[in-house]
Amino acid sequence: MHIPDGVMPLWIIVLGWVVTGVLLALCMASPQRRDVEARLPLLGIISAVMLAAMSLELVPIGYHLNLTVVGGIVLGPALAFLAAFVVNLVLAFFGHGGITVVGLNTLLIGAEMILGYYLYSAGLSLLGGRLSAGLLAAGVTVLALATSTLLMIGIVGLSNVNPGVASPEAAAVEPSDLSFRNPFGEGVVSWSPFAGEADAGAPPRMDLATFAMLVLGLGAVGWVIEALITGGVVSYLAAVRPDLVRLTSRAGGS
Amino acid sequence: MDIGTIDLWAVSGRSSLHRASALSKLLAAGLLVSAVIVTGDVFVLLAIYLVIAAGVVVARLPLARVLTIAAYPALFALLFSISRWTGSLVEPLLITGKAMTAAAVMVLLITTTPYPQLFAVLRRFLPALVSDALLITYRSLFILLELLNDLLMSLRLRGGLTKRRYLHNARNLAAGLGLLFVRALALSEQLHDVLRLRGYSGRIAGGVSWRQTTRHDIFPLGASLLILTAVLFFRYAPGARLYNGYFLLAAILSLLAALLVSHRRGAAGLGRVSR
Repeated sequence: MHIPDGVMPLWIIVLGWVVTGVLLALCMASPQRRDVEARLPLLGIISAVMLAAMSLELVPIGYHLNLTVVGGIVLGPALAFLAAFVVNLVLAFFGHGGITVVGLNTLLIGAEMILGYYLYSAGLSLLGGRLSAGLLAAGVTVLALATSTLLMIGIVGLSNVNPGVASPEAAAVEPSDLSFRNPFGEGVVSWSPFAGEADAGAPPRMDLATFAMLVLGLGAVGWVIEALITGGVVSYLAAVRPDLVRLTSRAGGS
Repeated sequence: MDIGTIDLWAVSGRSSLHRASALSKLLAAGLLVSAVIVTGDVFVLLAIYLVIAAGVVVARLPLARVLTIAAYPALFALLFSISRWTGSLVEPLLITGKAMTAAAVMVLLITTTPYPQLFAVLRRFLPALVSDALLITYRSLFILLELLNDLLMSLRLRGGLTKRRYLHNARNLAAGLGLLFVRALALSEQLHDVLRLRGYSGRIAGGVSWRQTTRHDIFPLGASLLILTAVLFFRYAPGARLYNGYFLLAAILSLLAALLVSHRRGAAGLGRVSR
């Protein structure tokens, strides 16, 4: 899920950029810099694969794939975070997620990719060959996506402030009740389709539980789809290019 | 998200907006997104949205398709607006409107500016590694999109993607995407060899003239400055909000004027960008 522009308060947007900036600097800092430079083409092209997969809309529910966990497994944590930033920046230019919240969106997508990598690696070393790589990746995908969704709910909970509703002072076209008044002749021209409906000055009532239930409910459908596809992709890679999914030999595949 | 079509619009457009420099359009986009974030008035927001729509018409782009692309964040914004429901329609309209208007600004920018020009500006502000990764991502994206389309076509022709067989489809789609990953890796290895051969040392050379100013820069910069000034005026000047209706009226008139001029151009046989 991508956070759009205009829904978050400034402090959390700035915080998102600062944390992302620090993490990007850490990812590029030596001794990892040589590794990042050497694997730059892989980083760019896996980011492009993720974007290409995102262009696939799954009819009839309108969900698009992300392939964040596969990307994380293939790239490793440092490159994965850089890929998350690149993908979010490109998405923002396509109006698909806000430009001002690229930092926050990078943290969410980056969390999915990094968590996916670590959970998958831990699963491989703990379970060995007892579970196929595809099934493991599918399970990891559900966990990683559920965590990033909870992280997003946390961010919304933290930022539950007024997004900048106008002051209650009268206006020609009044946003508080969507009515129209002629400023040059009080009462001469007037149209109030929603008169008396709202009080723009009142603080917004927080309903995080409803939001969480809605997002988790919709998200769960996405997690299952993503897990199915990720499991299939990792199974395929385990059979064809096991080195890509941290398996040294074909025998360790699905 | 039809990336190929968006790129075609950006590259093949010949409008005044297409001819403005990438730097001026990026600055204008920054000013407009700032205006969207600052405003707390649904009608001022609607006025900005209508001006962006007028910009799309001036750029001779298909209005409905561009606004449909920019409408995608509305779904997410609606979810966010639920968390702040006050019993009034105003707050959801404001949150959804902000997301859609900011997205429309970015889509207008990307449909009128070829990506290499945007990168040339961005690389001045981003770390070299990140800007190089962006460049490689974008260059390889179109190769991969073509590969993906071919893969999907093959799957469909061989009965791999059929109606109502969801698990069967998911398995085949996953294998197709797995193949895409393998091809992508081969592509990245080729690119790695090319970069090494050319002596890559942490920065790919860029040679696009991104800061050449032209007379076409006046429109995007002037309009965005005017809008931000108006938004600040309505937000902070005492009594100014009495006149926000005139801002909305001006926006409606600007859209109507753009549509009229576009219609006349169409009648005169001047083609628009479409696909």
